Amino acid sequence: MTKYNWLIKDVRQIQGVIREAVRVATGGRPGPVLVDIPKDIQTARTEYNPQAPVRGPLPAVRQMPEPDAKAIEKLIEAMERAERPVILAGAGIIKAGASAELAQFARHAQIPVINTLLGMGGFPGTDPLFLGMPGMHGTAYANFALCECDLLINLGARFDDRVTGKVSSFCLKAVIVHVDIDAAEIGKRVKTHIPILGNVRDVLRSLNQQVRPVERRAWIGQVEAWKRDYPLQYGWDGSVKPQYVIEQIQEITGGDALFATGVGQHQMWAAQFLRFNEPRAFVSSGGLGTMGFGLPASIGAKFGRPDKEVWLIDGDGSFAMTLVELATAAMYNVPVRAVILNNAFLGMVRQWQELFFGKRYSHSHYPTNPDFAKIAEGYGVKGFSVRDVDQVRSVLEQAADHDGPVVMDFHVNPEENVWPMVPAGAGNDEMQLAPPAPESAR
Amino acid sequence: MSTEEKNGGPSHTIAVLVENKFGVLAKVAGLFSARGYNIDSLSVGVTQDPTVSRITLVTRGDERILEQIRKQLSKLIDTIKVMDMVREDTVQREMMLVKVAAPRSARAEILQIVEVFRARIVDLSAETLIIEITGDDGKIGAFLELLAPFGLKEIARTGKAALSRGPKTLKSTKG
Repeated sequence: MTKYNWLIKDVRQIQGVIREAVRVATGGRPGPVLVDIPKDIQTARTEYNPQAPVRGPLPAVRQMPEPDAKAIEKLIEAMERAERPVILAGAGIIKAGASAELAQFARHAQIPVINTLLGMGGFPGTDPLFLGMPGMHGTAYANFALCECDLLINLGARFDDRVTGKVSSFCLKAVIVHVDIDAAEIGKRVKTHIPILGNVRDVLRSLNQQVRPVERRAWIGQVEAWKRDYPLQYGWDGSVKPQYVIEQIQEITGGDALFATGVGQHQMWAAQFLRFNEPRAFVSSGGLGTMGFGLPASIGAKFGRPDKEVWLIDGDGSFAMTLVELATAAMYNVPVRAVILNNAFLGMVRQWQELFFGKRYSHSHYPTNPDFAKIAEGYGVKGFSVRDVDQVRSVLEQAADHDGPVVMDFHVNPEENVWPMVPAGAGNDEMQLAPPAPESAR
Repeated sequence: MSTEEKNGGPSHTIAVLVENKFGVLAKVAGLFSARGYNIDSLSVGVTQDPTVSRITLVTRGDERILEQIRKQLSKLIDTIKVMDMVREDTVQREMMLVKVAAPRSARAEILQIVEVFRARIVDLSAETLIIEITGDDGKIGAFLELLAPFGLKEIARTGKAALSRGPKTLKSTKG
């Protein structure tokens, strides 16, 4: 799970190990590390030495070399030839602090930007060039753009299988560029034509010095037409629609807040319907898919950024896994706004069972969910229970004004599905959505 | 991808310099098992610098898999250096102990084979012999083929060791 770990066997090692741990955690591609300090070491005594020795250079976390100027030149040439370029921006943008550089690059070169799930916030969600999320539950227009592009510039994303779908039909018309700080990610899943190893911020700075402004009227026009003709949408049937609740949160906050999620359908809807204004505004568990991540993450986010409003968008399944953390929220009076999109199902599991397993809802139905508002009140936390769509807006507004933690249990349509969807193992060109795909994207 | 697909392809010898600490070998082995790559042989030993160990491993795969293996090995924090040991540019040796059925009637013929291969007899009993032989894959393979008709009782191999020819070395860049 961790990038590296240490077991301290002698208290004199502790200072050097902690310094080394910080270096490993933050060096190269950042990642979590673990320092295991046994009980006897915890209670032992030692002298503090501000100059405690640290292990010599660690090749795997060394300072990144300057990105290869020749590779960057190749990319610029490819951009000049390209008629339909697309940027796929991942979490690397956020970790490298390269959001401003990305925005400058994309606007200058007039290239639409797709954000991966964990890359959300790396590019402003309100920018006209923003195409949302790609892949399995991506927007139709992001997937059309991937299928049709002739140049794909991957900036700090790892070509996750939920993004690529079937690799053998991924971006078949495109020259593929991959900028990554981790050499092992380049060429791992997708054949790369122009690999660029380095810190994505350095690469973008170098590009921004060299790229000439261009107009791409035909391509931008095509992308805008897709956005207009195939927007994210959902139907109305009088029930509380989860997407509607999220849209209302977006309206109330203007996207100016931090949003944590659990894992599942609600997480996909949050990624689809929220518009993140800044990096690190979206706190979510991606590849590991850790259900129960949301509530503790939202409390942590509020401690880390007390100046920001913090909203949790969670499902009943995820929320139930770590709801004891309401005690922490109550104890420190942490004003997180916890929204439960309660469908009494493990919704994503149910969706797959409905679509691919003949509606055999095996172990995904939770008809005996507790009353989450009452549980919240049991912890001394304000609780709302909402079954009527007309109450959604007013409850959200009351929660936004409340000085302290709030739990809102929205009883949403239990059989709502996340659309669009690329079935597991299929290519992005096989995406299913309500209206048929346009001819050009087939 | 099935294990068989991954295990196909030509054999490669890779030398890795690592920190000489507990748990490092487990991480290297874990990397192979997690990705479904097979290790044909593996040998580990301390180098002239007691804080550094050298792992020599033999694996199989096409160029793409080999590149992934190299990159993943380089990514481990305890890895100091990784090098592909190309057969033509390196000396590669492995030692094997083989226990073979050797009734009196067969001994003369076995002894002759041992002599031709410059192997050594290190144990002798009424029914069996233990032979020690050092060499590259080809030599050890040919030797086993010739002994097989007599009845191979047990085999223990050390795994391969490899060094570059000439003055080139796999230097540790430890500060």
